[in-house]
Amino acid sequence: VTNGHLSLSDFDEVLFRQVNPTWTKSDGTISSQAFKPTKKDNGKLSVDRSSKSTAQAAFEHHQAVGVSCCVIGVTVGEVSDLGLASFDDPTIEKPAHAYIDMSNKTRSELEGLAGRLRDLATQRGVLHSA
Amino acid sequence: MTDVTEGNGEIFLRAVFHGDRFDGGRFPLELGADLAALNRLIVDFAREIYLQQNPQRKRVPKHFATTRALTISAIQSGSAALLVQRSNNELFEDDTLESAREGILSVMAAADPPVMQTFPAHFLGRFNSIGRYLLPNERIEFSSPKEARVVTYDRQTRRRLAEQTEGVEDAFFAIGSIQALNATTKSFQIRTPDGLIDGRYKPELDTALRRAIAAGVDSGLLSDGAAPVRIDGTGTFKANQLKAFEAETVTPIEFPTGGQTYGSIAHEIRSFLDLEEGWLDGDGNSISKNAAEEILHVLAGLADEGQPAPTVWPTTEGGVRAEWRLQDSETVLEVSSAVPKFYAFQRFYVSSEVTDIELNDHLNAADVAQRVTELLGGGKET
Repeated sequence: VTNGHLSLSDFDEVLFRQVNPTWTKSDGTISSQAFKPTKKDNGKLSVDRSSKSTAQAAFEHHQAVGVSCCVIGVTVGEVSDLGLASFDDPTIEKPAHAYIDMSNKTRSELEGLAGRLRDLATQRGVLHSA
Repeated sequence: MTDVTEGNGEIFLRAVFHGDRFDGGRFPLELGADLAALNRLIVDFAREIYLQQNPQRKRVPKHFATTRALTISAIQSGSAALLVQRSNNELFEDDTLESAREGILSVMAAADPPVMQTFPAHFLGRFNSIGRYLLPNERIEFSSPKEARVVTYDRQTRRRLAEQTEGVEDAFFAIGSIQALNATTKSFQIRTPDGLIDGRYKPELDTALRRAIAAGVDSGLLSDGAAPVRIDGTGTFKANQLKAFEAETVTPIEFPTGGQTYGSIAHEIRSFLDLEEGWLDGDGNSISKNAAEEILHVLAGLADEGQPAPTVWPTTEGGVRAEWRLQDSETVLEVSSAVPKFYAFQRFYVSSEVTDIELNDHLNAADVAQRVTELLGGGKET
């Protein structure tokens, strides 16, 4: 447990990431920015846990708060292999919510990590789309 | 490479040429014209020194020039190192040739006005013909047996010296968009990252220039709608400033075939400007027009370098980002409206080796294009 959040330990669990339509092209290319936390994220990249939701359910749930064109994902193990930790972060509105901790990283580190997460997710393929 | 020829006697001047073209002792023939111009300058300056040293004489002795001819006695290994000797040492005893050599080397090395004042101003323009065929990354290191010094001569030296007296002509190119065309005066204006440049063109370029303007209706740079072109020609410089530009060729800027066209990328970047504040689920600044303009200028330079078309994206900070996913690596260029304006990043997939460069804001689009070209694996072959 870190900062009151439970560290995810099932390395096979998939973490769903919503992709804003701005981060995709018609040929399926996805920008690594899909895995870069924005300023308001405070270094915590939002994902949903496959143990508590499905890609489709996560997608539909996200439509209420934002825009997504598809769902892609990485596993807890892949995140761990990159030296990152992922944490359970459920709320009443989003019980499957979790985050990948990308805080305290340099710009270069963030670029590299986002690119590798995007590569892994792209290899896995789109898990759900509109 | 072994020495081609071994000369005998005292070396008058040693000229070592540095640059890829000189590797292994190779010597491009076109540079022979530069050496001929240097030979003429040394002899003519020696003639003037002789008359100064012999005020009672109105002319130099007969065959002054031919008896003081210089020859290449050897080309040595490594970079092309030319050993220059006097061809007829026994025919004259004065040291005017050596004095001329030392004076010329001093002027080449000089940055301070006092040295320049001792050198006849009417000879300064002669440097226009010495080093004309040197490439930007090439230099000559001159040394003489008299002084233990090495004097470097390159394109900047040539321009600095020749500009003391008259405008110096040099190859010049501009990448940008045509702003104005006057068929009557055969003049044009091109907008580049460094500002507007006026030039003149030959009648046969009229169609190409008009076509470049017409092509901009559907694509091109944001501010003016004209499609980017590269114009090659001759520039006349004075005090390091471009004073005149005579266009010789006009080439539309385009990425190599197979990917997106420059026009379609420009169109896409233009569409980013429609994104409203909060476009990313409440996050995301509206896109800076300056950032969009800047990256289009950089992309024009990259297209000119033969680099592939990138995928372009807006950034949440209001900038524009280009991504190149190549076989072994991914390269990113991000342009923001904040300082540093340019940020480049490269990651190799297998080794995870990372390079990132925060490019200072004083770099212009051409410099950034060059840096990114280096990251992407070098420029096109010339």
